[in-house]
Amino acid sequence: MNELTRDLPQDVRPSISTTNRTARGGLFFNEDWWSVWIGLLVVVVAWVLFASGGSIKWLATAPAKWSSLSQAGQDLVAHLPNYAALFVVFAALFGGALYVLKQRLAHFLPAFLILFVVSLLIFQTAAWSQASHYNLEAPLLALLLGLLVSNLVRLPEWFQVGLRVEFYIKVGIVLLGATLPFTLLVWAGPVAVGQATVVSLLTFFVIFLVGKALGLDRRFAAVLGVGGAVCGVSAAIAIAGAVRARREQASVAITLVILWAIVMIFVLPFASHALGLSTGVAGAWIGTSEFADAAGIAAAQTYGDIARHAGGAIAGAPDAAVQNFTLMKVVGRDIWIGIWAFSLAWVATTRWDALEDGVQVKKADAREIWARFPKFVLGFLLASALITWLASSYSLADYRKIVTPELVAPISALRTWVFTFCFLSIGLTTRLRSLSATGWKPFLAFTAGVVVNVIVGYVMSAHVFATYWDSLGHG
Amino acid sequence: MSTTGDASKAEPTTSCLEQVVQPGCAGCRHRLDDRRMTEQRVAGLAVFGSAYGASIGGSRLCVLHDRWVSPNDFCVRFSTLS
Repeated sequence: MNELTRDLPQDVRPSISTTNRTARGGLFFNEDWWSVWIGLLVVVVAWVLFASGGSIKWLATAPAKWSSLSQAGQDLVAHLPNYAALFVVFAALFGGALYVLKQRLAHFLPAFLILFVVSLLIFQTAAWSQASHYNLEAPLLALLLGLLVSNLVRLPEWFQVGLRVEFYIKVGIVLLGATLPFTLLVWAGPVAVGQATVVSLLTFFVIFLVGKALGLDRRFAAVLGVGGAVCGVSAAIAIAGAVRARREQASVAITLVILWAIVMIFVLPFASHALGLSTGVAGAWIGTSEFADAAGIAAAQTYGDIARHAGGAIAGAPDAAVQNFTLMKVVGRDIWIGIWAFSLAWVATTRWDALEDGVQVKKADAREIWARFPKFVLGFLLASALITWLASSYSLADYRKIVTPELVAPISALRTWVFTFCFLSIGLTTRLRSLSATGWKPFLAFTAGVVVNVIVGYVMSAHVFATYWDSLGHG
Repeated sequence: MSTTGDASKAEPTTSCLEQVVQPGCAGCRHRLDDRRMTEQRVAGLAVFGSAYGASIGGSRLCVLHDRWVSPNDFCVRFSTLS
């Protein structure tokens, strides 16, 4: 008997609770699957109503443009029943999912009511005819308001239950799939994957090697590297779990991702504008160089909104920024997180030193690739395939005249609502004082990756594949 | 450090243990299986991420070692769930 077995407690035995804890999975136990079910349910209901001669237009309401306060007030009052119904539907969908995930409904419902009302006011403000002159785009407005409130006022704990950034963004991305033709995904996928792979690998190795050169632990450098190269906080958590990093190492990586992601929400749209990029190219650049899905959608939608109000000064369709961002980030980068986790788990268990605190690590398991796979991507693809199949029976003229206003546009409006909940939640959850202190070494390593990522991402989007991304943007 | 310094020596013991008692982190009271508390313990996790998403997989925090662990990891400080 060696020391390991000698020190084990005498009463160790397999228990039923062990089985229950490890068996948790399935189709209803994480936000990814719930985003698929909610997104597809909305698409199917919209489709069924459309097929029977109706539409969800009444529900998918958004404030109309206004130029005086009385006009805004009249529009708000006139649509109050629509907004009330919209709140009930969203609260039922999100609340039902969060209830199954063991969140407290008694906390979620009032928190979501506040989130909904503030989102409505943000929408209303962004609909002001002069809003674009002051850069009051809805994403930036939501983010800034949220940041201001959360860093000046201590928000109650129960309110946090309503601020589900990742959940909202995943549902929004599934709904986004319903507005993109499946043929576009098939056509754009390989280029997005190619560009994203080059930039992701380069960014990872820059952060990892600079981190090692500065004396950081390899596990820590790996968490920082994948956090910067793939999908931000989700990647940092996945890799921290795969290589068994320490809690504070994950926290530092998360802090750096948050700081740079928020900086990039403001920098990338305005840099794209200053550089005269088309919406398609800017979307691809943001998709390559932003660090989190939610932050990237905020940046891409901001640029799309800027283009919408620029009177033709920015080339490309306004929606192309979010479209190309999603192709690059979700299809090109996010889907590989399981592969990264498995590969680094394998390296950590076979090549790196054992953990110094006595934790004996299980060998890398290929099932992790699927376990950590972002399932909402499947919802995104299915929604796209469903709408594309439906639209295939219409001529292009009929599609634009009938399908777009009655089916696709209302789904887009719901998506914009969900994204606004997300942007506001980003601001409201980002309490700068509560983030971990990073230290200068991790900061330098991560920042080196940011610089390389932004420059190479720009060169590939605006030069190497510029024609390609432009053509998608003009679609 | 004899239990941690040489993983290869520990492996046969691991297989033997798995057959008999499976004292993995999944059944240990030090593994934090509460996702809400995980979000509270890891600063910033809920800003652009989630403990309720797929990317976290089976990984959970070990509150004893303050480290991320997988269900089948183990250590000498294992303490079974009551």
